[in-house]
Amino acid sequence: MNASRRELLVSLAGAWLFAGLALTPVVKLWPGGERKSAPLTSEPASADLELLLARCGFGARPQDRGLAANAHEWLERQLAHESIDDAPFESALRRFETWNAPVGELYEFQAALVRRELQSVVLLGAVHSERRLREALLDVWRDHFSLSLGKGECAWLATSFERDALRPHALGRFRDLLRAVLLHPAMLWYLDGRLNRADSGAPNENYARELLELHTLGLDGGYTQRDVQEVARALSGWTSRGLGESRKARVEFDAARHDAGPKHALGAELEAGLGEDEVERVLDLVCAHPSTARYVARKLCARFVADVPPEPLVERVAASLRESGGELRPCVRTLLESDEFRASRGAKLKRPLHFVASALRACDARCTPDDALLERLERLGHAPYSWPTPDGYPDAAEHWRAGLLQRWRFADELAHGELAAARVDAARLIERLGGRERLACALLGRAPAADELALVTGGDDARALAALLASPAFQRC
Amino acid sequence: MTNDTLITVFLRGGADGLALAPPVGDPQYPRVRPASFVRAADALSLDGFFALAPELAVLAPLWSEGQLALVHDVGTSDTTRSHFYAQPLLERGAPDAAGGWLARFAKARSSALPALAFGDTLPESLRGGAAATALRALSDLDPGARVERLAAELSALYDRDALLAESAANTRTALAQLRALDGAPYRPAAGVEWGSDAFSQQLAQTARLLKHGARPPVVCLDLHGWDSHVAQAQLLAPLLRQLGAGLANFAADLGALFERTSVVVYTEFGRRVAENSGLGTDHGHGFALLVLGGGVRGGVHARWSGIEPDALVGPGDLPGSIDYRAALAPVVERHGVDARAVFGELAQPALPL
Repeated sequence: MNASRRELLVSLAGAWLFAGLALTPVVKLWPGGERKSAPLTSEPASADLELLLARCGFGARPQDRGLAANAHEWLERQLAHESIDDAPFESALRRFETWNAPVGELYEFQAALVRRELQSVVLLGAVHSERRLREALLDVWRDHFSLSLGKGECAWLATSFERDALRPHALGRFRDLLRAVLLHPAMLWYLDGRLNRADSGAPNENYARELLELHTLGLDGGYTQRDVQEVARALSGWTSRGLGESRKARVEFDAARHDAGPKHALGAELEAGLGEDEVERVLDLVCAHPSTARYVARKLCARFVADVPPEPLVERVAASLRESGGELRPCVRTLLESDEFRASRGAKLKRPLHFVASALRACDARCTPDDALLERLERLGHAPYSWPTPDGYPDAAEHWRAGLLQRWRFADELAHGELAAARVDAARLIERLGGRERLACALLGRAPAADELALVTGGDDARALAALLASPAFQRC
Repeated sequence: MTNDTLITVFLRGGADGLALAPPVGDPQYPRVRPASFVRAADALSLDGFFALAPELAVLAPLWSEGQLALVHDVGTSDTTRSHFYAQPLLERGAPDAAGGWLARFAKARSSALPALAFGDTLPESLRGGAAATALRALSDLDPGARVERLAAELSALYDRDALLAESAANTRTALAQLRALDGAPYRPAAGVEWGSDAFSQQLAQTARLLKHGARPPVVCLDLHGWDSHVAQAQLLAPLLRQLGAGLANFAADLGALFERTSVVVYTEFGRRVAENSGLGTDHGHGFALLVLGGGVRGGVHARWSGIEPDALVGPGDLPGSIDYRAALAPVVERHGVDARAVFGELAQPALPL
């Protein structure tokens, strides 16, 4: 944050906390002038590539189909995401003041602005980042390590959690990801780790329990209440500085609050006096536990293959994760090159964020998130970082299928060019694609069936586009 | 027959149970509340010991018809006396519950319409469950004629989709109900004159929705401003009037439909028994809760140990002897929902109300 803004805030101190300071208007994300874009391709790609684009890429843009010769090439390029040029997206992110603030300075902003910019970044990533697979994995981790803006200081810290804990490790090593989460001030807040102190009598078990139940071994992963207590003791003393303190959001190990005695956790002995190294031993223990690989593998398979994934696939993906020492890339490759994955086209219901992002991409819309668009996500029940409990937004269709009314409404508004955040001109899109049948091919990723084709004949262009976006086939991936 | 829609009225800020339902029969009452006590003759007498505030006298017809229950000295496990802590605690329905109690309730009801909440954002009680929508006005719900046409055009395709067919059919039903509101005449029942305040307007819109046949599982309303640290009597009088008039009009407007509707009025905590030096009251603990509507066993359901100092807890607060979930459980059950699915195992048996 630059000095002038800081001075402005200081001069407004007191008043701005009570919403006296209006939120800044929508930031300008994209360079001006007519956008140059690759020619649109409505011809469906191979079934395998269409499946990858639909399910692991938040949906295909019409021009995506020309960017990779086949599924294998797309997957390898996406796995090596560091070498993908993502300059337009990254430069758009630079426009968000809170997104670019160091963690300790986030507290200087209104919580409402932090929320709005964080949710905008999540949505923009899903729509505009070229690192499609990384965005898909991020969406898994946001639920696996779920965090709610509604809990205390997470209202400010969640931005850094997404940026500094999840993004760097989304396709890296699971242990690095878990460590970044465990020692992030947002998670210390969210699951009360900062309150876990041995000098207060009983340690706070909340984080230790969720670490085992939700982040690593899973509920049936074979740990006991005793393990929870021992892990809580081992993690005691880690805390973070809060709102009223100096060096806010700094994570510290306070030896005076740590239980230095020996522990027996998950079948291993932790000798006395390990101090701040003890957290590394805990990370090693939970990451090496066979249940963790299986639990993480099942989660990935549930997201990318089927709500109830086939167990043989889960076992293969888990084995891949174990054999690589917790590297995520090999196991994602195993998963996405499996026969089970290839055979699962259309088996998953898009969750609302996926539906919204895929609709914007299918229309080749340029998105500048505003309050109205973020409210659509809220209405659809899928605003980022807003699930209230640590188990994350559900994955299964069962939870989401009742929300059709808001999907149809969104499809209708978008197709009619009524969303200021993403203006769509249906007539122009259809012209660029070469007609309505080509539009149907592009949106469905295959030739339309006769009754789907009937949807796009007659009526005006916007209605035809709305019908395709609202169709059952477009709700699936 | 089970009830259809559950209406909750959350008195935000900590509504004083002694103002809402004063214990006019307790000799200590005028002594602890020298600035604000009401005489028995001025209040709506209930059972001779408890009364309702004079501003709530408009509820007399409901009381005499047995459609109003007062539950007194209700409490949560809150000991912080913090709005920030106590509101979400009450709204979740259990300390470690996933999401809000009304979300779990609505999910069990599996209705075609989403749960509704008037306001800019969803209340904590509706988070994390079935479909729920925050709205500022009824018109926010109407998706418009274009969407209705879209739904009709897509119906054959959805009918063939095993996963989505039922949901799509429910959605078309809901859509028809919502569309029917567009331009449909609304005439309040005879004698109903809605106030212009936001609370009355929201209740009026809720009544309109129900009278047109729409059956959302839940409608949440908030009435703000109960944090009466100073000049309590002056501060609360207009709020109590809004509450009383709103509820009386709502029942009258719904007529027979009120028999299939439940209304719960609650708050995050009550207030200190003794007045403070500003003629107000500070954050307390036990509070009064009202249940109105169809199937309710009207009357006073109290667990009262008096307002002598040794009957109070903490800095001088009502102990909150009745677990609030014991009061909500029978309401939930009247909608055909297992209270355990909403609150887990109850700490106290459900009240017979």
